[in-house]
Amino acid sequence: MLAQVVLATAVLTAPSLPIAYAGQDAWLCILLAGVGGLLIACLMVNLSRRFPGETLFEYLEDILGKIPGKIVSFLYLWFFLHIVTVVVREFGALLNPIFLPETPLVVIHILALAPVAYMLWQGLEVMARTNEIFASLLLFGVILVILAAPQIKLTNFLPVLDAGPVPLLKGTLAPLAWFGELITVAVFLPYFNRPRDGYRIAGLAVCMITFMLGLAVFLTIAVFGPYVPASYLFPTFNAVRLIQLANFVERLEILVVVIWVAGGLLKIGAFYWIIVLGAAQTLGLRTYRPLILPVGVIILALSFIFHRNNLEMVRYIGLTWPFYGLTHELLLPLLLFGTALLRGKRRKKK
Amino acid sequence: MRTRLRFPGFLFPRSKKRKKLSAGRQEVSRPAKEGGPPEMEAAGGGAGAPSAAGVSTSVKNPGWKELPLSSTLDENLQNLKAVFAHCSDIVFREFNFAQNKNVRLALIYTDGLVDKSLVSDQIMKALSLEVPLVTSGKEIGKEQALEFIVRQGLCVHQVEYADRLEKAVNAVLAGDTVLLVDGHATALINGVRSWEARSVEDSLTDKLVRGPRESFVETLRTNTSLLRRRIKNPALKIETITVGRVTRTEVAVAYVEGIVQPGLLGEVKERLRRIDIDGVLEGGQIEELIEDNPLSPFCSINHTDRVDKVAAQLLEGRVAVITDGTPYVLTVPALFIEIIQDPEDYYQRYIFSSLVRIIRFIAVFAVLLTTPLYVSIITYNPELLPTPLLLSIAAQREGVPLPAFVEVLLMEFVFEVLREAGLRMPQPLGQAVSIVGALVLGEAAVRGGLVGAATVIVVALTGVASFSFCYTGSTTVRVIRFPLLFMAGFMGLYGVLISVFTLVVHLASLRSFGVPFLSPAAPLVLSDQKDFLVRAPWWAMFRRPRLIAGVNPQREDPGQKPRPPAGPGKAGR
Amino acid sequence: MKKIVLLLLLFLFIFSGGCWDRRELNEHAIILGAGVDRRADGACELTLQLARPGAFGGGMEGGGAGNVILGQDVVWVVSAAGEDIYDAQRDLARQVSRHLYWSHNALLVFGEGLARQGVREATNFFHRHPQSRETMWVMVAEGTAKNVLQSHSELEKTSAQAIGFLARAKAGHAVKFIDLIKDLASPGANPALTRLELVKQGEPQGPGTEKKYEHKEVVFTGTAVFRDDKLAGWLDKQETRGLLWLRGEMKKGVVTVPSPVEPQKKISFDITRSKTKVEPFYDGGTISFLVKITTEGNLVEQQSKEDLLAPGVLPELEKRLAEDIEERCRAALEKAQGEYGTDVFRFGEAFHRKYKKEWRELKNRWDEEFAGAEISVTARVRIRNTGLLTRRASLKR
Repeated sequence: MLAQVVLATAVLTAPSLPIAYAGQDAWLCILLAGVGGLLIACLMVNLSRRFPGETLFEYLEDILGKIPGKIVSFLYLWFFLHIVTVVVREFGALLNPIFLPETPLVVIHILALAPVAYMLWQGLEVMARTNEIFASLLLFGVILVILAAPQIKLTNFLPVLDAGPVPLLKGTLAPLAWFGELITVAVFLPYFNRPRDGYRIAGLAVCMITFMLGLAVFLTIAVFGPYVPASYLFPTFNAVRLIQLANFVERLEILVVVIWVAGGLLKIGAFYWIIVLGAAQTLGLRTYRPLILPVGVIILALSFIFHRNNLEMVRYIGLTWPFYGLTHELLLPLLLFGTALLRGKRRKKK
Repeated sequence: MRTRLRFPGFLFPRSKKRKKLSAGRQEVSRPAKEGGPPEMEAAGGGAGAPSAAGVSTSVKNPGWKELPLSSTLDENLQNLKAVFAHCSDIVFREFNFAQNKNVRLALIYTDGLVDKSLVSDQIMKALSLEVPLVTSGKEIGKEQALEFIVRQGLCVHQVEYADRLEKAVNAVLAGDTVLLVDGHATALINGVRSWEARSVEDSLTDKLVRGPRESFVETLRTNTSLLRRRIKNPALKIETITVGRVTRTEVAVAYVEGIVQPGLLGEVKERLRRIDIDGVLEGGQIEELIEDNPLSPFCSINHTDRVDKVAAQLLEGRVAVITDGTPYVLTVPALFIEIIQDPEDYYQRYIFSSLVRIIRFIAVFAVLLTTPLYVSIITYNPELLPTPLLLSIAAQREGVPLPAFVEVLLMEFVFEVLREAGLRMPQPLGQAVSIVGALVLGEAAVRGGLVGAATVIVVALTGVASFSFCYTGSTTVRVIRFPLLFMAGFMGLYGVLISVFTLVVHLASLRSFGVPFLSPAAPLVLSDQKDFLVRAPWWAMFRRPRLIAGVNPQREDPGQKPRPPAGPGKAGR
Repeated sequence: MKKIVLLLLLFLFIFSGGCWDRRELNEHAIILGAGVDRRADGACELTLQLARPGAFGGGMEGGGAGNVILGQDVVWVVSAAGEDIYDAQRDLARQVSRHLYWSHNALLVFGEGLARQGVREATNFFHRHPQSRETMWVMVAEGTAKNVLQSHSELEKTSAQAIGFLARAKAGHAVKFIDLIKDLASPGANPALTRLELVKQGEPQGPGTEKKYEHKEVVFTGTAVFRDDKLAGWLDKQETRGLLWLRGEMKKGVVTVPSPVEPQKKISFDITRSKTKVEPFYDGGTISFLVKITTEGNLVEQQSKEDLLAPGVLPELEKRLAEDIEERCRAALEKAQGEYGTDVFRFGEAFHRKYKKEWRELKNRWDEEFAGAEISVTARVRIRNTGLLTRRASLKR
């Protein structure tokens, strides 16, 4: 049931994918990144299964000891906080210029965070169920690609491997960092109905994400060719605007916005939940509910402090994020894994 | 049409459990009695003349309910008369036993709740005149009188003993006749209930084309009998609880043993038991007192007056709560999807039923979203309209002085008022209201340039769509449409999306007696999709809803799909 | 209770400043067509065709929203000049009482003067503006764009709409904005846009319209060919056909050839399906292209008298048709290769697909290389249908 949480969180990053590096071969980047993402997910699942029933924040202390564990916990909290502010900011970045140009961004953000906070208040189960309802929206994505068929030119993908392997790898980094968000599985896993299925669920999630991201990239390249989309803020959005069928089915970009809002809110919800849960577990609170409001305010404030405008955010996602993100998503888990192996620690018997 | 119903028996076999129950309730109510006005006053029905014997009795002796019956008739009568002071509908009739003039008898009953011919023929006539026929004139002593009366004297079907005053009083109020025999501390309760009641008629709220038309009425016993006629099986259990300190309303809990989940049943009974209220006049009061989500606009308890619907729900493992005096029966647990389900779906051809269900489903969203979307598209995102449509709507709006949001709100208000007026008006005037509403208001408003024609179309569409699915559901949806409309007016499509998201979160957080409100959609139950948006043919729905009927999910033998008989006919294929 | 009050206050606070983007329909000036010209002094002149909704009529009569009155002005054409397009738009905002609304703009016309100096600068505003749509038609006006937008259509309500319908019917080489952007961005292609001209065309007939009409209707008359973003020259109607064949965009059209038997009489052929395959060859020195065109269609008119049922007649006819198609393609190629030296056929992209290494060296001087390339066109035609007749009813003459 909870596989959906991980799933939907990553899928919606699709519209903001940079195709700039690899041109028409960006779809290969996604595939490569998918393989990388699978590795990260497996790593985290393996780590989690050494400490059944514990979240990332709990077993950090088991692995590293109390004080270093807490420090790394806070590092992760800060990292997740960073992610969620980017997501919030991105969320507003699509809505603000296109749909509500004169509305202050802060209002959009408040209105996004309020229902999410309500959802967290209701708990993880409600979040999962909401996810299930909105997961069907992903179907719209597939429908959109079908509707865009007349605009699609498969020749746009030729010649394969035009730019050579280096840009391809460069282009892989950013999506890989997005796939790295799957380390959230380390927090969600103990709450799964069947934690034993961890590998299967993580694998499924990676496949779905690869499929959806691949679909978005496919659509964009097939419609625009390799040269134009790199200049767009939201290429998928513009691609869908082109859909015109029988002089009647057109102006479908609203569907993208629907998917964007629903997916964005759920993604914010997932990371928001991780932050409040992680903070509560690190601080040793019984419930995370009292943290919802303060954390929400912090997210709201940071979303404006971290990025002053859209371009800064795009630059951040394209250049800073892959390295910053992968440090936390690949390097740290690897270190943790190594430490855990060396120390041979399992869950303490209680 | 009104008929006189006869109930040849006691309404309810009084189980031990129930006795415990009422005792428990008294404990709760006693402190209130000491502080507030004495409960007796209400029970006696009197406006409260302080000198009245009943009141003085109760004041003098607040524990009258615990009083045993005395063996002298006069004392019993005195006590009862004190209790029933100022109750003009209570009849006291004293007469002598035919076999022994010394044995005095007294008959107490409520006028209008008993079958008078039965009382005079089978009780009074039998005891005061005809007994000698049996005994051939032999005198019977005072001590044997009671035994003899029960064995050979009374000609009624149900007779029960009472040795406490309270039981006798309750029996009188419930419509039974109490017979007191001089020299015995035991009263005889004779079941001769009969009163004026509405007869079983067509359902007024749930109309249908194909299927049984019977609907519940106000009398509990009729309702249970209607159910029993559908489910002729001892597994259909009907337990009763008395709710309401003053009204003493009988509430029956019906379920099918072996299908219902014991946990669910226990929870329903427990919640009913917890109710402490002075009166229950309609099932709706019970509904609000036992539902899971008291703050939600959605009702997590369903109600219907269709007998077949309740029977079907019981067979799915649900529990029905029947309240005396209410033709509407509550069923739990309720799911969101029941808004678009109708009993007729199960009787019509399944293909058509599925189509109709999908249409209802769309209608739900139409009611919820049409006007908010209209407002937000018109005022925030006209780029979503095709150019010719935009120009056409723009032309209509050219002379309209009001913002689209206010315009729609105004029309919605007018529509709701018209609907309410049509409902409350005396029947013959209903036509007039619709004519005034449709012609005068709609046509004139458009002609006068007050509202655009498109607005009228949109609001009318919403109105019509709101009648296409179950009424309770439509009231809920109509209510939550207004906040959505406001959000559309303030934030456009973004506001609508945010509101819908919040709505889904809210729906996902609801539970009805432990069952998630959105099931089988979230959590997804694949086997229940057969009876969700579409209705699978009966031979394919061989499982009951999983989350409701957990213990016994098998409904029928799978593989019952009708097929032509094996034989020579197959050769052609 | 306190919480509820607080919540209400919060919402009140949010909404008190609210409705930032709310704009009623009658506060919009809906733009139906836009034109950009370069004035002699270098300033940008923006011309807009604005809808007057009142005149469009919503199917109602009387009341505030007026019904359609014949002869009432349907659009209002305004123009203003500025340093760039947005500057011009600001200037227009001072003339127009409503908020200019771009989302329904279906037509962008460049004036000839602007096109000759380059259209790239003029496209950025429309590409960047969130309201402006990539699916609008882009065309080049012979003369100024202003003249085109100021004309009106006899059949449709506005000239912009009329042009839109013509473009949808594939009457010429109609190009959407996004295709222009793609061609401008790709090193292996150059844009080609429809040429618009005002021509005295037909006369409205009806009681009471005897007066002589000096009406000029907008007509598609060929194609504007660009070298990079600058207008290089025009193709006429026949050459435009060739362009469409070579780009593989021929979807509808008629080919008329003289009869093999009686050359002065004609036979017409209606295209139903067509496919173009471009194959590049490169041996390090010379570039050559082989273009194969396969077409299916129906015979729609036969003035001559040959018996179509006779063996060998249809293949002969098909050969004639193929030759005609090849001829048109060669005409277009000659103009583009010889006269203007620009690859408007996207052959560069086809070359890129096959020779990706060589392309890196050639792409910066592709237009020169293209001008020297050898291009041979072969066409094959299949006649699938001959209408309701097999042969002429009377073979007497």
